[in-house]
Amino acid sequence: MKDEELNTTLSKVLQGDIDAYWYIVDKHKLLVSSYIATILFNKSDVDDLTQEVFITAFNKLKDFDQSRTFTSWLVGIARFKMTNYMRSKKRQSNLVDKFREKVIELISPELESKMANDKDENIKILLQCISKLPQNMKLVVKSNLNGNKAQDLAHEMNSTCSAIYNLQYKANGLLRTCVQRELNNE
Amino acid sequence: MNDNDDLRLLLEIWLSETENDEMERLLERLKVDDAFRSLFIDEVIMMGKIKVVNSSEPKFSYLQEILDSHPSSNDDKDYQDQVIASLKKQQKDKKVIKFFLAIAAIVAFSFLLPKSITTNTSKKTAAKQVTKEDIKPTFAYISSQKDASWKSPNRNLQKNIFKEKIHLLSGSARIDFDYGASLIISGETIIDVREAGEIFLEKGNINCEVSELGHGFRILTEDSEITDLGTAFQVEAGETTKVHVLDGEIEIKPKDSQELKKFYEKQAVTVAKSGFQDLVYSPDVTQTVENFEISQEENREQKLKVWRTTNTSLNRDPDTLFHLVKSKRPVRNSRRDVKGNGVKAFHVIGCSNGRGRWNENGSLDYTKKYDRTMARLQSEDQKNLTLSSWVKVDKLKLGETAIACFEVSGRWIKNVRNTNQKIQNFKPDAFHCLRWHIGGKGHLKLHIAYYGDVHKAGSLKNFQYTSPSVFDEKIEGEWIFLSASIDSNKRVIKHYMNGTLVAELPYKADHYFNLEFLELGNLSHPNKEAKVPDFRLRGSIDQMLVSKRVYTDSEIADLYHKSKPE
Repeated sequence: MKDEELNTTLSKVLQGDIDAYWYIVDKHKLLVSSYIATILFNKSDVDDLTQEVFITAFNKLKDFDQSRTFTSWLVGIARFKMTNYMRSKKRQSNLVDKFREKVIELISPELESKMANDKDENIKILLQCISKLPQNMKLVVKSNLNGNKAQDLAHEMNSTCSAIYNLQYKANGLLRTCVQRELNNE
Repeated sequence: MNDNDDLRLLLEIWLSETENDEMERLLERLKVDDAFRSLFIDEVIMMGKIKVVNSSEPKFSYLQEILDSHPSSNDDKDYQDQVIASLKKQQKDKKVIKFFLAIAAIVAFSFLLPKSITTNTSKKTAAKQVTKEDIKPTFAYISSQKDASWKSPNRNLQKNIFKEKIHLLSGSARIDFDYGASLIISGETIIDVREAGEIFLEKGNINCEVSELGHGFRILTEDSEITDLGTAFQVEAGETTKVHVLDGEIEIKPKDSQELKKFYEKQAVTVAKSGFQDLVYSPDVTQTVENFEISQEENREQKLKVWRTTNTSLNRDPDTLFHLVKSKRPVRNSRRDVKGNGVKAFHVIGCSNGRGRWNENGSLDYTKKYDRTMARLQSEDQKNLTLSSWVKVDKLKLGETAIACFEVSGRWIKNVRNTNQKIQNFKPDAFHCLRWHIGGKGHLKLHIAYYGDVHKAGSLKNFQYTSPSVFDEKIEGEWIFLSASIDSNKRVIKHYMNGTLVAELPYKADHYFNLEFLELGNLSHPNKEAKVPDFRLRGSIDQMLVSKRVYTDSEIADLYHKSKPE
């Protein structure tokens, strides 16, 4: 969404045109969801928080400083929602939970800035790229590995967990190259 | 190890959530090696995007409701469009259309009249739409508490905060506002949450830390209006208002004065209605968020040790017949998840593995109608009993929410169809069933049935022991600790919620009951007849305990406090 188009749409929303807000949601929902999904694994949690981000953005739209980037503003709200959510779910921590918390703390600023510069269009291209992956990688990528899923998939593919994670890692690299190539071709 | 190996390992730990000896080293590398960190972030971003593009599109129904209820500049135009649209359906008679168009013109003209006259008409047209009043927004959440005692007992159950007054009697609690502010309140504190970003502090102590997103958060007191300008500050409201600024800046206006003054880091002030007075900076009104969290973490670790010791002693108690403490892993349910004196069989049908009260244990989750758990216990006929369990009800108004049931073997041996065969086994006054459940309006119930005339179909003597309504659907999704006891010596039946006695009822029968066959969760058959009451559970059960001994009030309270992590 170009800046000019975005500013016009935002002005329309502020004047009471609700449909215009749906247009904004439509243009940014993939970006917001993706950012939340980098940290949270459960898809319904991701969807709920994405919705909350857009509700908060709608309620605070009049406070949005149009000299700032809209996506970084949205990602900032998402970061805040996510922090609150994780705090509300925080219970007796084990070693892995503590490890994840520390990793999140370390990567958060850079992750936020990288995501804020991304676009929904770029994320959509990913879908085409996944379809071009070799069959075994496609299977791994589509299984959304987290928790014990790698064990199940390893069993299904008659392989090992390490091999499954390795396939995911390789697929990520191929997908990044593919998305970049598609963007250059556009 | 090279970059790729480390990256793969880190990704594996991140995704599998499994402990690894290399975690500390990888964390250190992530901290110091910028390039490594950047590569890992790329991986995480790719995984997030893949998850989203592979999933179905979310339906933002709540957002839809909010936007639909929002006044739009197009409302008048929409109304006219609706009138025209409804007229177009009646295209059979053009004359009729003309007639209605004339009415539409009159209605359209009425929009020129003052709004108060037209509002009712608009409301009628939009009758099916969700109005603003229908949506009760949540403004904040009680994310943790320490020895907190609330004036409203329900506050222990209901963590969400709406536009309402909250009254902490003692202890402390952390409240996170969606607006972007985190409060620590301690001691007797009364807060009236008025708006998403505004509270009225009637009395008490607050530590307020506002994130970048929540600038402009306001705390009003009898004497003052305090507006955050990006900061952390503490407020003590009593006869006067005392404010200490820990970080950043705030703006304060005394209530009866036009003077607006800014205060900065390490400044403090006493605010009276008419103006300001100097105050020595001493920010010890209450704990900061960081100190509160550190003490909570220490508290949690201490509580975990106590919980483990309590479990061990419950498992060794010869009176414990059944004690469910599911391990988090393995994923599959197993006999090892239950302890107790002579559990002969444990069988789980359906049920998923949920997150228990503690990170160290799991729960039995009941979502589908056929999800149920059955256990066979080595039990003689009993006259006394204590039941307790953590229960999370996700949907209260399904009918009767089932927790547990003991019933004669006929329920187990579904293929026994010969009535005479059953009759041979049961005599008048023999035990039929004992059911522990929750009514749709939040009543706790114990139902005990004995056989009446065994030759008459359906002839049972029923006794129901019901508590007053103790909660409503606001507790949906929250863990509650329920207990019940039957004391045949003192002839009393008691119901407890979160360790507190909520009902004490006279025990009307004096028969033995048999605790051999236990079922947890859904009791109704999935294909039951419509006329039969529905005993369903959509929710979770954790730490279910059955003891043949009557626990005292203080033992129940003790069990509650020791089995909850926060």
